[in-house]
Amino acid sequence: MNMINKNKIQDFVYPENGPRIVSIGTANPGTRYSQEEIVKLYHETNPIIVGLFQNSHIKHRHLILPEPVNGVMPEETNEQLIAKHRKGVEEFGAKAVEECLNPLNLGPRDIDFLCCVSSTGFLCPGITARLIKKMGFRENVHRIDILGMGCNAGLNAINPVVSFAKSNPGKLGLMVCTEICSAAYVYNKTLNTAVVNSLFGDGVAAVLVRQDNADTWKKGPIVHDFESHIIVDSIEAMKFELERDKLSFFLDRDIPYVIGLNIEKPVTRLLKRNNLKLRHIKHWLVHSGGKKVLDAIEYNLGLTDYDVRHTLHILQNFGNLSSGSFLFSYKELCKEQIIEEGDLGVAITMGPGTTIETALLVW
Amino acid sequence: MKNYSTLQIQKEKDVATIFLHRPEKKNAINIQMVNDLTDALDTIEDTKEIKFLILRSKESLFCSGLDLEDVTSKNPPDIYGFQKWEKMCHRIENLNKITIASIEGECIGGGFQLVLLCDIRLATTRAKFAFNEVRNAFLPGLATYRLAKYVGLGKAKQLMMGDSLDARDALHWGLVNQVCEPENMLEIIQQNLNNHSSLPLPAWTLARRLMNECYSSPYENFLGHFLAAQHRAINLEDFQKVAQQQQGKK
Repeated sequence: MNMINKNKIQDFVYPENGPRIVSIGTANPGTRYSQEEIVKLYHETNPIIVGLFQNSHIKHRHLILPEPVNGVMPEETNEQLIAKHRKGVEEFGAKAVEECLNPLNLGPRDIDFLCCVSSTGFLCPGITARLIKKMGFRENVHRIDILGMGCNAGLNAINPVVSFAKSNPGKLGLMVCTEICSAAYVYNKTLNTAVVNSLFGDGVAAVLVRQDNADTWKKGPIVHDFESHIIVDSIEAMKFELERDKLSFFLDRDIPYVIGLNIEKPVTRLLKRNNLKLRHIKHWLVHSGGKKVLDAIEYNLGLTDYDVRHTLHILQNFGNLSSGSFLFSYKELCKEQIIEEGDLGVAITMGPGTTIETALLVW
Repeated sequence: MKNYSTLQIQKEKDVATIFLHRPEKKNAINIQMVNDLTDALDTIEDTKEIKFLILRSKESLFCSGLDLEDVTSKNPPDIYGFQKWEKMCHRIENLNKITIASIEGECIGGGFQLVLLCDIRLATTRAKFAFNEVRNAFLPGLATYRLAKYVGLGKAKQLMMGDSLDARDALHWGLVNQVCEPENMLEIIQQNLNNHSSLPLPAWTLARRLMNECYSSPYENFLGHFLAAQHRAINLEDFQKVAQQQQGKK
């Protein structure tokens, strides 16, 4: 047993056990496009918009886009966008859930609490109901749909799942972040929509949370603590707006810097409460919000490109996947197989509100 | 400040001084010293009052390099001690203080590596610099990464092959900022402390980080980093005070 890390941080009280993320599954809907391919598909010639696509630090994204008609991308109606969202969350939500549960020989009927998250479409009945019907979850599964909270929502949503697992040891909580960003994709050749259209990608991530005394750090991290921060002065800085009859996401250009200026506040509170310093955190799982916001977080927390390498990788290869992005980063970290017992991690997500959500992970 | 078996540490007002202290081994760096340095850095980093960290020695030499007894004690040799060393070096290079190396006498191998991490490097006329690692058939750590930034690739190769430099050459090559007679070193250190006593630490550490990164970042990435750093700087208290003073003048 490697106790080296545990001995290092004297003042931190390591939890004996707690709700752990014991499995993850992801799925990427649609087709993988390069930024150049999207510019070509839409016959974009405005040099400012082309520049936005080229300088986004993104190489590829998965998107569900319509087939061109006579070489021209057809405008998608509201009905088509809603249908795309519904089909996407059902089909790829199911894929991510299967990838999450199969390695543990579990199925939908084993799940006791189901939480689905989306900000890229509105469904009633919600995503939980649709996944229950499609996949055969139990009829008495507890469920909650979290809609419209934006890119930060993955951490807001995992909070009640973690609480459920904590108060019901042995029971299984499943969170599914289902973001079909291409269903909120308005293309009207304006700069506002181009900012968003050059950034977001489609992605679904599912994580299983349980508290079981038989589980060790090797199964996954304990989600030990949460800290939130909302900057209401910037409430209008990220929001859905109506572009004629369609909802389109709007991002204020100052947002990366607002996040940068505020990021220390929740992170410091989270760490201080647990008698920790920044240097004790070995793994950083940050939402892939965009290169500028990552720069701002790096320079305000003193992190390096290496510290956020998983997020840079996700940004480059998948774009901003909204609520599930930080879970894609978590999956990349797991692939590295460098985690040791006693390692600490901080997850950070940012979104409308303006909100910063953080969580402390303990392996 | 704690006591360590390989270091002596003094704190006077806003200045912490770490003396490398293994006189029986000519201050050679062993794993204990790496652990001690790491622990001391934790305390120094967390002590807000401290503004300067000085690295020096009480002996007539700075450091004779890595303790080969320590490095070769494991068979087969492993890399983990080196990993720990590099992690500690990175901490010094990015410490939230102004760092000063004061070099007297021999400054070999790992000692030379320590010097490259510091913001200000001062040497006495008796200082002598050399990398002995490649001659001993191993590598001089991330001096392989840092040295050429100071002196250019050609001179870096010359030094890595084992050529030694006296203090005057080190001054001409830009490796040290000032050279003085041994009896004047305390005075020179004090001058540097005085000169930089009002340097705002957050702005300095941001500028230092950008300069350390500038050789390895593409322009677009670096521009993004710069804008993030500048935005932080102009929103910190130090700059707000300067801005207010300027407003007052108008």
